[in-house]
Amino acid sequence: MIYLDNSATTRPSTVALEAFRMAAETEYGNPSSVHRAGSAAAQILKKARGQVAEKLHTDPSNIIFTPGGTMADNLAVQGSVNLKRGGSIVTTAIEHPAVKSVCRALEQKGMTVRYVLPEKNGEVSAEAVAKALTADTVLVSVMHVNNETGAIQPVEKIKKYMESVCPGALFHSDCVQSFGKLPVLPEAWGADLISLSGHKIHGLRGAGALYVRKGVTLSPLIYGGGQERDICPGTENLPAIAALGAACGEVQDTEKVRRLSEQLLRGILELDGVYVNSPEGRLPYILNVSFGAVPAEVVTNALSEKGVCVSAGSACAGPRSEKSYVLRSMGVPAPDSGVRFSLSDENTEDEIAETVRILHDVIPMLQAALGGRRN
Amino acid sequence: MQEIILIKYGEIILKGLNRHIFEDKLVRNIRTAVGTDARVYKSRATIYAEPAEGADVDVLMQKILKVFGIVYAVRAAVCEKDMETIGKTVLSYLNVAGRKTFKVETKRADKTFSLKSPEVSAEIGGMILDAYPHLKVDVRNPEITVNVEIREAGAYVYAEKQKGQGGMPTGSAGKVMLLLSGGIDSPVAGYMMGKRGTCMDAVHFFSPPFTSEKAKEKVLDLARILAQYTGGMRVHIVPFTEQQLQMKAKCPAEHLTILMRRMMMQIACHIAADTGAGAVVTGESLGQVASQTLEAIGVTDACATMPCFRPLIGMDKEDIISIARRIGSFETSILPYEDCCTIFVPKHPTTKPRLEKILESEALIDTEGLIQKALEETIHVDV
Repeated sequence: MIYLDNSATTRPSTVALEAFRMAAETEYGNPSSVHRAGSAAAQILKKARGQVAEKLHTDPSNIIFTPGGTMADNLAVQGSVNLKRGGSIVTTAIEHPAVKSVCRALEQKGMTVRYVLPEKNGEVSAEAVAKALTADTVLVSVMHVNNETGAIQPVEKIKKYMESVCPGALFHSDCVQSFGKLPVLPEAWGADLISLSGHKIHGLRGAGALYVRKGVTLSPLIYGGGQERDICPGTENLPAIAALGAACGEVQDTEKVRRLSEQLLRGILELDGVYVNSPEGRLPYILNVSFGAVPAEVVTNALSEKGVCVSAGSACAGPRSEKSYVLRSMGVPAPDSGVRFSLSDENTEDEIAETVRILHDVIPMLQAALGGRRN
Repeated sequence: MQEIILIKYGEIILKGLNRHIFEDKLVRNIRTAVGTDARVYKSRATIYAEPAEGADVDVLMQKILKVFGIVYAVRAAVCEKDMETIGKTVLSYLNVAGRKTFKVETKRADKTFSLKSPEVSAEIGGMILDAYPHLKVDVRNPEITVNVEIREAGAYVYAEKQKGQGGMPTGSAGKVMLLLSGGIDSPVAGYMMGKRGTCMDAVHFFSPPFTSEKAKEKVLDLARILAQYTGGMRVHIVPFTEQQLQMKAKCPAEHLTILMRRMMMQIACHIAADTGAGAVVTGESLGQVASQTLEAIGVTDACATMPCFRPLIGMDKEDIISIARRIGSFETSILPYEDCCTIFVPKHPTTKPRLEKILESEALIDTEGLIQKALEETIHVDV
């Protein structure tokens, strides 16, 4: 099997699994308990918080552990607006459903939401975001790297624009796809809230984190026993959190991924009728391509038969009409055809060469079979 | 409190000298449905299911109510045949206290029992009124009907009758071959035929990579839902990619749908004949889509080598959907995976095909060879 769906989830690393196992098997105490087992568990929690903070170049007290990226996003967006006070939210049309669906729900409850469209290449310009800001804007949420195209957004520029128009507003960035692969620097960017997730960087499912700048108050979505500053209460999922911490300590070989990604793109471009949906300056971990009008589902099925795992768009999309909203908002001619290859530094040159060989085998056949297909 | 399920059947009583064959089939089908969870036996036009120790009687009822040929089933308490015990059982087993009006109905199959039916009813009614003075008897429109049956083996007390599927016992009307797509209609068509007593296998056509593994799994899930009613099913999965690609490459686009339907029909007839089925069943409803016009059905049936039943032919989509919801297939049917009927659909399919024209198109491909290939590559899954 050749696994090229690393933006959906990654294989847990040995280090992460060791940390997970240790926390599950040996240090199984509840970090809130005062006895010896509890304090040993609390040490693990503290260590993991330190590891995440170090990666973000910030103080551990700014890190809230969550059950994952979706919860971190929900907490950031829902937890920072006050429906009674109202106001507007500025976000993009290409956010992950964990942000987009929350914005939709808030819209129905009376908030004003403005969705900034990306450029044709999938990048959102900071100026376009600036234009959407108004004095009543309370929250700006712009993802760092788009999960379908790998487009990198100018998150470092946005806070400056906010300061002149809506100085009291909060800036949130969903960094689930970029964390561990690009520098994520909340303090340098002036960000107030940053979401991330463990299982996208070779940790395990069940742990994510939210960076909350000192002085920012969030209202919790659920209520409980005071854990995580009462913003995200519930007994901590310590094994997954330990794995997240351990995964933060590992350095991703981005240079290698860049080489593999370029090798893959070169091979794909040798085919006819290919359209690259990712921008030139994409995150090398993600490459989104259309093979003519062949539906992405057909390509993923065909590759799956040959042992290559890729996604049609994103693994998180819902019903068909919602599936390709990212490519649709970019104005891609056949949005249902976008196939996402997502790499990790565990992939090899041989795997990429084999994938290219399989694509050369399969794609012309599919294009011929579906030639002239119109829907 | 010992409980038992009493099962009543209707239409098969009419079947004269064959009656015991139908009854025995029904008993066997109920046994298959409940497995070791109950002991099933027949006595005097009633089938009894005695729950095994620890068996969940609710689950048992659900399984029994899916068996074709049952008019209704009741969940009853069993007790000794003396009036005091029957009265106590009524008061403890049934929720009469929470109602305002009631009546008692008694059936006395055991004619040796000392009281006659109306006397039993009157006495039990009296006990209920003594216990709950707020209740009133209403023989026309009671909130609860207390049923007492006095039989050789004991007395049975129950309130509610639960409606069964009706129809004829599975296996009493031979075997058919269902074309199962993955949509809403075909499972309902299978259900309708099953209700008339047929057992069935299903044929499914799949076209990897144009259809996914998940689409195939979905069809197997639908077959599993249907098999709860028809008592097991074999699904013949026919790879159909090469066939569709050949048609697409060589035949006029507007004929593709009808050509595909004809080839599916021929393959289904072959598999049906090989497995002892006497008819093919489809979920078509007249005029619903291009391949379901009178002309298209005529052209499709021209290649059939056995009868093709279309139990939904005169039904509206809404009616079909309501049956799909009732039998529990709807939620699975609407899962969004492409089936092989949708991906090669031409933009403007012929709605009034003429057989000569279609035969000309069919001659452009090696129909016999493609059918043979499909039959050789077919795999069989028992659900």
